[in-house]
Amino acid sequence: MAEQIGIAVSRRKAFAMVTKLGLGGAVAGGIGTSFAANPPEAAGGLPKKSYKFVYVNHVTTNEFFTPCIYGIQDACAFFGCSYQWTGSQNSVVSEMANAMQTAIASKADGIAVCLIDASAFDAPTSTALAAGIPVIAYNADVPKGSPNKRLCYVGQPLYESGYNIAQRWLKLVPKGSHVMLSIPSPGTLNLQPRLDGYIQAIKDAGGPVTYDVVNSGVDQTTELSRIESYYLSHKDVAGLFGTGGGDTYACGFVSAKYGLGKKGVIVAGYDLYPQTLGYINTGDMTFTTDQQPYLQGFVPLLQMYLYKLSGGAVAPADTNTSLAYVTKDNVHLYLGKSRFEGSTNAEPT
Amino acid sequence: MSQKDIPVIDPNAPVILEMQHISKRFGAVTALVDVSIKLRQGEVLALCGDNGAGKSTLIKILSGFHHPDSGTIIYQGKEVHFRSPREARAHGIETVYQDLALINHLSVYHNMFVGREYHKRILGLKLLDNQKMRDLARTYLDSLGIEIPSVSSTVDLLSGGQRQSVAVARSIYSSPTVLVLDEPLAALGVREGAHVLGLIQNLRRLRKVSIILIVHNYNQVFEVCDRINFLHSGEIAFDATTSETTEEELIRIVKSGLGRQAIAAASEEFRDSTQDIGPSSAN
Amino acid sequence: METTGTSRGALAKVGLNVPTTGWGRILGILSRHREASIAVVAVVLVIYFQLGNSNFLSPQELSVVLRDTGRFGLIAVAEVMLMITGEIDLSVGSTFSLAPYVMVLMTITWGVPLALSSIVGILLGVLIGVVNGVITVRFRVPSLIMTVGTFFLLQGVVVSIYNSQPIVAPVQEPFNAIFGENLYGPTDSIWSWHGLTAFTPFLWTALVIAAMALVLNRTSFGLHTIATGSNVIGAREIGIRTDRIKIYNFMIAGAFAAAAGITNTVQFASADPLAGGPFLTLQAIAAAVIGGTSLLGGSGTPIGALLGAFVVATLNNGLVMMGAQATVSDIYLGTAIVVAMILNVQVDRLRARRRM
Repeated sequence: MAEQIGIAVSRRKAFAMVTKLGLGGAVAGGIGTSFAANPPEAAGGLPKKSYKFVYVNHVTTNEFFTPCIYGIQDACAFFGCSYQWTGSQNSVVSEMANAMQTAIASKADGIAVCLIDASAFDAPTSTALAAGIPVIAYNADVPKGSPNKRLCYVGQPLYESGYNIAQRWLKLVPKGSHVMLSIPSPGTLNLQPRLDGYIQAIKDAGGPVTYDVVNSGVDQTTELSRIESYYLSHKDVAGLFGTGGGDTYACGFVSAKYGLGKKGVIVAGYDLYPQTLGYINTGDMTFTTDQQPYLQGFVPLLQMYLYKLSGGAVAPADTNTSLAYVTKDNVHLYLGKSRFEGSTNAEPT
Repeated sequence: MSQKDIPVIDPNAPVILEMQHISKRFGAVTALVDVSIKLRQGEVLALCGDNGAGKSTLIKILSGFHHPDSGTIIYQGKEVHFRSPREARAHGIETVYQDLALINHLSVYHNMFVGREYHKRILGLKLLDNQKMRDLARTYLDSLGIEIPSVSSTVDLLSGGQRQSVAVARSIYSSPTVLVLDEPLAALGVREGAHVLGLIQNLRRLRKVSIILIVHNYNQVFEVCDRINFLHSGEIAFDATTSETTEEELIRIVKSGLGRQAIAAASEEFRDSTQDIGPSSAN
Repeated sequence: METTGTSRGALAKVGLNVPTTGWGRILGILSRHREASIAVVAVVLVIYFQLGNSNFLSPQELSVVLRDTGRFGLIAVAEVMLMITGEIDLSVGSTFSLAPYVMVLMTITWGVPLALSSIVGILLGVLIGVVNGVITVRFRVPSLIMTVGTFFLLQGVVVSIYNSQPIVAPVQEPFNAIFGENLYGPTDSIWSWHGLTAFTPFLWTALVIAAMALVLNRTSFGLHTIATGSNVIGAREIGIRTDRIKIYNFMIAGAFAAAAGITNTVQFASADPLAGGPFLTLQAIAAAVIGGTSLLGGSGTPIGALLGAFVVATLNNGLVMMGAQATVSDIYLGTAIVVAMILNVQVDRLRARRRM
């Protein structure tokens, strides 16, 4: 972590940055998914440019990325750019690599991609860079030491986040107890490092708990059933910890159904599904983390825009979109409808 | 097979079915050029010809599966145009195709009644009356002398001859006026074929149904048919009753190519050579 | 079909095998009912998992397994009817998501009571079935390919409504209780009203499956459905309207997929645009096939589909209970499905031999 030039950027800071650059106030609405160009206007400060940026994602229809898309839309409206949201629905790496190639061939102005595989994206990334197209990784990154030449990573450092989260709940769980760790698709680069972080944290703390790793499955209803079945067969479990948004919600569901919160079971995980927030509010869930998917859409676009505008002089920088913990104390900030959380598409006033 | 108790066709028997100048093309292929046949009440007519001569096409036109390009069908004295197999069936023309149209996954009795099932009402629901259909099928098959151990077994377990018999039984159950059988003995061995021939002979004896039989084996033609029509080059090249000709003459005519002149020449040659003996009465 | 209706004596006279020993009788039962083989597999699995973890047969775990069984089973029986006619519908997953999504939107936006908007949802499923059916029969597009297209089309529709965002479904009594809000809590007795709602998704499915078994075996429609799948040309020659039969079965599939999606949404008070994906569709088809329905058409069993769904649900949940670790659990699931399939085919062969 020390080697990265990281800036922890909060939402408010992002807008402050943009305002300092003299871009003016609120933006109305977002632009659609196709390459609809905006007429260039000087808006006092940075000019609007009809750049076309391609975001390659691994779960294009997953609700987690809804706020991410809103972030992209808002940035596009601001800078007069347009975007395309593409990739794979089910983490199929070849589909994503193809989407990158297509973007390169159609001379996109920038590519943002979730690097869920350690090496499959190296070649398309190099090709893109050789063609003068900036490539930024968001949400998922290649492991340290990888030869991948992406310009920076915007997102939550996955392994570290898992490690930190585990450290936090290890303090809450009694020594010698048994916990459940769940992962929806074992092996994918956006989830596996989190699990690895959990496991390493347990090891480094001297193995105070025993654990099972459960494959919660690829669709929501399967996750709900499997985690419930796990609990029913391991009623003495002291903690339920998810690595993705869906299985975290499922852990909360089981906790609410069986009143585990009151029994002192610690339930925690990732992301801000509306149900997850509800469970934190009612005390069925202990905490979750906010990866700020809105920023994972907004910041790469901002960085690619500046890179293109400055001819490469303003280079993208690694951005940690934070590891904010959402607990009962601050959950009220997240409840209610917000475009930044994806629960509504109405713009803030 | 005894021909003694088979009543002879009255030469003045009414013509129940007449197909006049039927033609049919499929794209570039002309299946039928100008075909005319007459079927009398109670008659068993053999329709012969080479493979690809158009026999199947002709009967498919009769059964409503195809529509003729030109020509008319006169049935029971009235001109008819069948638009579908249902219509032909409704008029009393039943056809048993080569593929038998049997449903392998259904039982014998279901096959007998599919399309005209019996129902009973239970609690306001219209359900199949399987018991009734089983009993009716059992009785009917017994009356036709068809040996099938259990009407509840699926037809895929029956032998070829049994399947053929079931298909024929299904067709005559509704007492059709005209019954068309497309090569009913094609896939059968001697013993099984004998059963089916016996069934046809029984029907012939009663002289109630008029039958068109597509058949290749001339032995069989002379066993159960009253008349033979030869389809060649899209036309009926030869038309004679089975008492007017013999198997040998038939073979000779076929060998000589079936052109009209050839037929006339071969017929004459035959008559000359058998003048002293007279027509064969091998039966 | 059954080999009843004739006395043993008559059968023996024509040389058919008549079992007299106990083992022979058991094999006789196995041979008469194709569902028997999958029932055996189900029982074996239950014993296996119960031995592995004594909580398997607890009412709470059973409510989870039967909840899944209900979900898979309803979609599986929809596929069974279609597979009998020789077709298949791979778009059921997206109907599963779209129908409840539309239903909840109607209720939230226009205040339509859930009871009414759910009917609209089911009609939507029927409409999707009509489209699938008409394109398959009129344009002669193989349904295997065609319904993949419909699947993506419908999924795109449901996802684009609100950018993949699931909507929280309102809870309206008594609609929710009847269709399974799953109010069954850990302290409730299994015999209470709440206890019943633990099983309502399964009970509804079981009811539907019993109805379909009746339709298939005892009505003209069922008979014609089998005929269409067994010999479509022959059926047409007899005069059966095979095109219509296929379309009606597609409509049934659409309606059932919608109903399954709606009960699922009511269960969890959440309409998720991605609730039904390829995983759900594949599991439902696996349930239908290991339950004894042939992929080739002409034969199938709704009861078998329910048992097959139970097997798939048991595997899904039982493996977790046995402590199968994440990385290898899919290996077990896949292997178990293959083994269940092989067992089924072997018993099928046994049946065929005995009947010869």
